[in-house]
Amino acid sequence: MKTVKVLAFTSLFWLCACEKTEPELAVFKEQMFVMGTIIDVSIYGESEKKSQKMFHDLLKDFKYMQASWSPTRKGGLRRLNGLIALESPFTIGPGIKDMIEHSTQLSLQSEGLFNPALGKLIKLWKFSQEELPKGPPPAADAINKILAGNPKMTDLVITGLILESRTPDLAVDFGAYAKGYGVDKAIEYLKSQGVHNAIINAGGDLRAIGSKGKDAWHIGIRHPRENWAIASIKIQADESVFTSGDYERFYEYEGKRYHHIIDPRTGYPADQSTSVTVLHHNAAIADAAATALFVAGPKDWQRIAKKMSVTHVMLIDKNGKIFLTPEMQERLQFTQPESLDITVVSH
Amino acid sequence: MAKLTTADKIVFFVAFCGIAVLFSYLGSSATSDRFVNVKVAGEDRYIVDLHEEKTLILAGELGDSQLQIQQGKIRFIHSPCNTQYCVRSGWLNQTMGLIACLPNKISVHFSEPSNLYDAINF
Repeated sequence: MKTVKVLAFTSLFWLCACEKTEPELAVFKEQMFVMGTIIDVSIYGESEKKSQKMFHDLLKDFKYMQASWSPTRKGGLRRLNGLIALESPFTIGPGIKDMIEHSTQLSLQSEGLFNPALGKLIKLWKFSQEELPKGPPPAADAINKILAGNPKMTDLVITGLILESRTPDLAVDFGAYAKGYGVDKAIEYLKSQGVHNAIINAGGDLRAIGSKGKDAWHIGIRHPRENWAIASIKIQADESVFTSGDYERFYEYEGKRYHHIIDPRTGYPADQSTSVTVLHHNAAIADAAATALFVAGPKDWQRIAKKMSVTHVMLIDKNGKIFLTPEMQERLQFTQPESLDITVVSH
Repeated sequence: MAKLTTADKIVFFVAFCGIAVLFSYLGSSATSDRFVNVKVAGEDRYIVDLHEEKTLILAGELGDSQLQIQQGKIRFIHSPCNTQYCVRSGWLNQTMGLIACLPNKISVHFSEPSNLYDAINF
């Protein structure tokens, strides 16, 4: 009898062990250096060969996007800005037309806090170039001169494929939009290839589709001031997680820190937020909204979020206080909630 | 207490072997943060054992970056970039996902995927 019991126990043990050692499908993971950042591609449930081919196709696509949308490299956007300065109508490509129209709509919704028409201001701050600026910030006179021209996306008038600018003071910089738009295009491509489960992570801003088998994709959100995850979120459908933070691109001059998110109202880096995280199904909207809400700060972010139809937001202010929408609270799992100052703000 | 039969002994032996196999399987996950992959311009260059203390000098797009490996950890200690974000980011851990010098196109990440997260947002 005793032997039977031991045998039964051992059989059960082996059954459990067998279940544990069932082969799991691996996640294909590769990375590329492009668009001034590292883009990680994760694909689940496809063969290594097919994944490799799609990765190389995406690499070509992102290189093309980099050449087309960079305000400093020789390409489509630089040509567009050069022609705007000539003050006469010109023809644009359908791709850039879509980007201008969509970003104009987002700019209007954000009350101009997301303003891609301020390319000249970003250039003045030297944040559009790949190398970080050195030395003093731009002179106040130069900043005020650009702001006096009040360039806005609605100054661009498109008829068919003909674009005309109402002002030569305008230059387009898609810095707070192109990454999201590019991620959306990459996901579109993967879907067209029959991929159901993937993550495109462009320098920490990502869109995830599907899941990892029976498990949801598990995304960590890094603390803006520490090297650990402040929270995590599970994604099992099709969602983007974008964060704008004052720690991403910055330089210091005479002990003062200047970061890359410029407030279009003042012409200087927005100084009331540390980071803003937005969850939205569309990566381009998440990208633009994260920037607009960062600029809006603790006082105005709720109003702007509502206008942009963004429901899932986490804002960390300059003192480290965390503000959340109820929808975001439902989704986030904080790693050390007892050490954080969290306020859930209803609409 | 009843004496063990030969059959009991065989069963115990099989169970012991099973446990040993299981432990070696589970133990392998503990080594997931022992090795890192170093990439230059997106291409795999080295797999580094973090238990071998040394300084690694790598030629990147701008010049040489230095990586320090100490007590099972790795970090950038020098890079020719003007941002120095890579040096400031400190030791690599699973939450960071990777450390990188973007201008010099050098990145370091754990060879095994993170057990914690599939991706890091920042």
